[in-house]
Amino acid sequence: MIDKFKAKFVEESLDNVNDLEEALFALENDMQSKDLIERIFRAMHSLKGGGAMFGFNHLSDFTHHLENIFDKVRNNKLEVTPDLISLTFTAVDEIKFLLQKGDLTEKDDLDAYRAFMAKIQDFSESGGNIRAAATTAEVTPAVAEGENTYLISFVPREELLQNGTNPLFLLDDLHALGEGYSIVYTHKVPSFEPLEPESNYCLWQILLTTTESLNEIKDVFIFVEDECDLSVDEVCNGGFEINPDIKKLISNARNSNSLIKVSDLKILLKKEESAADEAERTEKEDKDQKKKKQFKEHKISSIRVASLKIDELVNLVSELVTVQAQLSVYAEKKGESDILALAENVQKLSRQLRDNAFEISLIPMQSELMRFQRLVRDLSKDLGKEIDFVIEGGDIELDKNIIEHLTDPLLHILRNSVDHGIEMPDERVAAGKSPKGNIYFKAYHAGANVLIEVTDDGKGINVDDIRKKAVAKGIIDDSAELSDKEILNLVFMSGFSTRESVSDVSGRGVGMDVVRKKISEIRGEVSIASEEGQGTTITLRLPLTLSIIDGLLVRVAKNQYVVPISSIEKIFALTKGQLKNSFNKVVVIDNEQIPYVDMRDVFKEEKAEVEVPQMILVKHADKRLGLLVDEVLGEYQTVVKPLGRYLKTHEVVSGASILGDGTISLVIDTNRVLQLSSSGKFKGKKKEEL
Amino acid sequence: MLENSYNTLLSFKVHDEFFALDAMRVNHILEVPEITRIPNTPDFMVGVLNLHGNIIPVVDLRLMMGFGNPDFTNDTAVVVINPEEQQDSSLGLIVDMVKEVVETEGLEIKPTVADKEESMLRNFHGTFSMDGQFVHIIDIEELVAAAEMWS
Repeated sequence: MIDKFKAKFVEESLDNVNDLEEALFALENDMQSKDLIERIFRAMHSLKGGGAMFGFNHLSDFTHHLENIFDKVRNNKLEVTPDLISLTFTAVDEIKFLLQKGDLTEKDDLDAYRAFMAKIQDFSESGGNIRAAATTAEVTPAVAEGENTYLISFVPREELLQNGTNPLFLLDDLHALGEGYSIVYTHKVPSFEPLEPESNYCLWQILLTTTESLNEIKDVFIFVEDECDLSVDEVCNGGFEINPDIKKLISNARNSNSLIKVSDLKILLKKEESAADEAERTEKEDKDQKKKKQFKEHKISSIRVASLKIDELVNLVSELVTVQAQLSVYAEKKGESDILALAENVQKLSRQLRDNAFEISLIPMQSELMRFQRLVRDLSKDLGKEIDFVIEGGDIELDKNIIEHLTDPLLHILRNSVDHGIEMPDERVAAGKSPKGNIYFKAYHAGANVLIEVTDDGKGINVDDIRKKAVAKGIIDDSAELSDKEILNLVFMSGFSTRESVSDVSGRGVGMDVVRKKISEIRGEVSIASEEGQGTTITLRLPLTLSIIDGLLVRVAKNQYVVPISSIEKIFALTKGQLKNSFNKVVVIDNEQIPYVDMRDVFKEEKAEVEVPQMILVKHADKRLGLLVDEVLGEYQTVVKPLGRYLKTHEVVSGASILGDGTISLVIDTNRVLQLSSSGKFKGKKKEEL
Repeated sequence: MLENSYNTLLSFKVHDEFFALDAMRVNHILEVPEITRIPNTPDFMVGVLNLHGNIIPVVDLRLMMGFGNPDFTNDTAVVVINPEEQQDSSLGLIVDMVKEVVETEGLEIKPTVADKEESMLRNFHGTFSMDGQFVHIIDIEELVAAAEMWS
């Protein structure tokens, strides 16, 4: 039982750690942000509390000390420095480690842990001293949060004194609210003769700097409201200083028997506080408010569900869709209008349900992006390179299974960019670029696909080098004529790695060939473009979801197969003559020569004369190929199920789908057919047979 | 290999010999349903079947054991095993007849004398004698590895 809670705690803590990391990144860019420090502190605090509760004592201790540092930062006793941020980053790693291991038992781990702990304690103490001296000087002039200056004009009527009010007490009350400066006007006081001792002839203006609200100020005058004219105006943020300009304004007002005008005062005070400041301030406030809002909405609008449950839901929905298809078949066979109508309704509902369920299983890439950011940051620091890593489209959503499979290839691609792509700062300057390298990570929708582009502005790839290497490794023949694009694509061949020495960073046994393999496992594609000296772009094209496709049901010999409609360009009915006249497996359609394969060859079925053979024209990148099938049976929306591990490596079948009558039809991976056919695999077979 | 954790075995007939495997790994026993053949796979990989909406690959244990040209009779059955408790590791085995569930307690299990050259399975967990018949205990891991190896 407790284990269950522990698992939950670890899961939630990982979220906290993520949040912590995210905030740290932001803090690196904006070291003064109170909000971020607050957020970091909060995350640490929950880690500490939870850790103690669930028996992660080391974790709890560790975060306790870390929290101390940030407590100091929070209270302005410690400054945020790059050192502090780096330390905290490594601390985050330790936290992850501790979360994973629980309390440490092995000696090595413990030693490392203690050493780290000492480092943190050191930092919290020594770092604190340095700052303490610096702050006192710095903090005083700084504007305290939320302070404003108001101009209060208090013009009592003459009867004020008659109901026992002493205006001086009111002024005292005002001064109690904050820093005040009173200006008294006595020009209304008559000469001695007509002076009534029980009347009040004075009026006041008070400049008050306070954190209290406008209403709080007005409340001071609550009992004399009817006996005076009162106006309270905000004149500036922060405090004020009585400088000669203001004094002049005051004496001018006194001389002309009028009061200081709010607008005049505002202008004077504004001079002190530059306009830019104000703009920045309001902008910041806006941002803060937005952030708060986002945070709140986020909390309310999402719930945490175990991913297993979602898998189960998606599975159930898939089954429902299958059963519904059976129902439709049955209803059509029966032909009873009642059942037909029902079947139609069920179809509509299950389609909606299916769409919904699949949407649920989509998650934004954001969660993984943190790791990439971290990788780029750490790696560039290690290598002494300066890199700006810009992410665009982090909110794009993908099937979680896709995201799971995407992480490793992307990490590898980024590693390549940092290690091989971006040059050292001095090389960059010599090449006329800014010393700071750029890596753009961009994700966006394109039709039924999501594209991810990783672009760097590094040194690019030298096509000749690739070619030489490929020849040396025996991947291509020396005489082979290849376009630049084709040569670039050689990097995806297995056994290819352009660097002479395998560096610590890239080349950990994962080459671009593995990237391609992994991406194609999730029915995606990867392509590369590069210009020497300008940089390299790697593009991943991914399906939105793995499990559902629009398919075309076809028949080859006795078996039914599904061809994904997304890859189909056209369908033609051919005459027997067209095939007979075809030379070298090319047919002419609409004045275009199109190579084709007979699916009977692909599946090693017996040859047969088909009355009206159908040609399905499939397209992938810039290659086209006709697939010759016996019959096209119709369009079919279908749930693709995996074939399991025993058939995972099958060359042309990528999955199976269950038809309305419960039988299984195999899903043809047209990209694989294209690849195999261009490598001459099916043609070779044909020759043998002949 | 004899100190395995199982204590019940499912025994079945393949050709004219008897085999058994850990009953806890067996999920279903089916009559032979419609099986969709997958092109370009070895003969023993019979195809895939639809089990409650899941696609299960099926191998013919008789072919894997090296017994040739098998027929399907009324007794032929598919034993669906789940070697690693993961959906994608489910595997159907075609056997000639399912016999019974045997408690291992009190059984005298001796090392198996493997003698069949053509069999893809060579490592057995042991052999015991039941009703005057020898029953060989199949090593599920070897079976899975063999079924995976073709590609």
